[in-house]
Amino acid sequence: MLTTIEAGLYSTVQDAGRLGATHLGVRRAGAADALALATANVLVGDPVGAPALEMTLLGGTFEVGAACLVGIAGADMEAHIAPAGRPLHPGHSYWLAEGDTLVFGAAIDGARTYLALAGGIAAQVVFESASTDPIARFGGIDGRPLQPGDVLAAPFVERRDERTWPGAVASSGVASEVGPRHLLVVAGPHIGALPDGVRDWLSDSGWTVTPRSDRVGLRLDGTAFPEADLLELVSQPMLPGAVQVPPNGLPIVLMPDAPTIGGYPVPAVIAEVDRPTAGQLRPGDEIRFDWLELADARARARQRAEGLATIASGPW
Amino acid sequence: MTTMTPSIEPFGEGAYLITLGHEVDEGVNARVHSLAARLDAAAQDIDGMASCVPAYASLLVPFDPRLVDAAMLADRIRELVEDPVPSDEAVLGRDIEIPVRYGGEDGPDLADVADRVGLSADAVVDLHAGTSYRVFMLGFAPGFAYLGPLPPPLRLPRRAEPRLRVPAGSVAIAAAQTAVYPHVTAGGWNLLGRTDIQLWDPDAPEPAALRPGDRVLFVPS
Repeated sequence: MLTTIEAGLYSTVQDAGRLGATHLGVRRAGAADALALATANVLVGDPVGAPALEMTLLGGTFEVGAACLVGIAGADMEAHIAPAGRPLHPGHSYWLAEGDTLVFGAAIDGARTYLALAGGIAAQVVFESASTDPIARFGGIDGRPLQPGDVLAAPFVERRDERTWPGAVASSGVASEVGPRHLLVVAGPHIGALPDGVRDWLSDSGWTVTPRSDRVGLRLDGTAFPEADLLELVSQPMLPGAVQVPPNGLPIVLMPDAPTIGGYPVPAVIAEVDRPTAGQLRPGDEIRFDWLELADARARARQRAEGLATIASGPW
Repeated sequence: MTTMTPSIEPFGEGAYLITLGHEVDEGVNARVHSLAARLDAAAQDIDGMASCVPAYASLLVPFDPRLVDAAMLADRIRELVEDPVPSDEAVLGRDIEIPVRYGGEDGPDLADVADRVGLSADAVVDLHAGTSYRVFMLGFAPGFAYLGPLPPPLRLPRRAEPRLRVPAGSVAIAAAQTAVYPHVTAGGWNLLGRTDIQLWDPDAPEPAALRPGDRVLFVPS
């Protein structure tokens, strides 16, 4: 059990997302880096989609009220136990003792860190999901970001051992090398209706993630698509991962809290395997889009899911 | 209304987007909801299918490609699209009245809208409240219903700068649409008035007060 001393920049309880109420206008929410969520959960022996705490850029500080096993994945926020300073790393789970103070700092790579509790963080479940919806103000902890005083607790589970993620397997969308992040994209539903140059426009040049980026969308800077103000469509369903072209011609990558309906054309959709990468992008990051055939995209997503299931089932 | 060949396009690995038209049109929208109902019914016994997401003239069909064969699903969708069934909507759609306090603090854009469309504020209210509107779809926020079509004299664009904070219950117009904001959100539509009716209750058996196919009448109060 953890009591929040400092909440961090923007910390919310997220699970795999809320899929059953989209037709009512309820946004899907869920972890921006679903791979890191899965890793943190597997490290504490929970199902890959269990509710965990998603912290953004600057993490929180927590008082440990009762001994518990926690898992950490995603960006490295140089977590440690105060005051002794024992360091905690993403890709590991740790037993914390009553009286410990768990401190997360600023992310030194990536954007988001996931903190899982063995047993799953107890949170408000609405439409079969514990993800936080700040518009509807439900899910998670009263549908809002974490505040000092909030308690993160899990139902009692049997004692589980600490685990270390196998080094050779990707554990999150955090980039392992320097340089522009490459994001695989598949053709979007409107590509046939857009001018011919849109494919090359998207993949030929680099894009910069602007500070106007959040869980609703990544707003990118770069070479604007010409006459994009003429392209608006009648409002239609949207999906996180969609790359939209708004009237100013600069792409927006939709993120989990994006509205369910939109009117900007979608020439591309981030491949499922690279959505965790999108969830770890920070303002100032340079990115490039690379086209992928849909069949390949499905094959890669299936391989990733099967790999995760194999790791989860052990042995540990 | 121009008829078009329906298109079925992948929207990422795990969804198809069915497009039946490109305009706000009551007939096309009725076909969207009829198709959604038939697909949802067929999907009930299939693992890996989630509820369809309808819009004005299109429908999203999400699925798990690891559980559902994408090609077979596309074929099945095409069969249903090419074999339209008359809609039950005329029977199932409800008539709903929403009391509205127009103007003043409740409708901060009423005077501005009247100016821009060249009518008196009273005439704008009479026009807005003088016709019933179809619920075309829910989206943008929980329980946010897109209503229309708005009488042509009232059609004007969204505000140049969206407000950061639109009060819950605000009644708004933009382009050919009108809507009520169920929650406090950012918003760029023109605010004519406000209602106290609760349009969203997550604890209710049916959380959204309005359903596609319902007809809404605004009543000045």
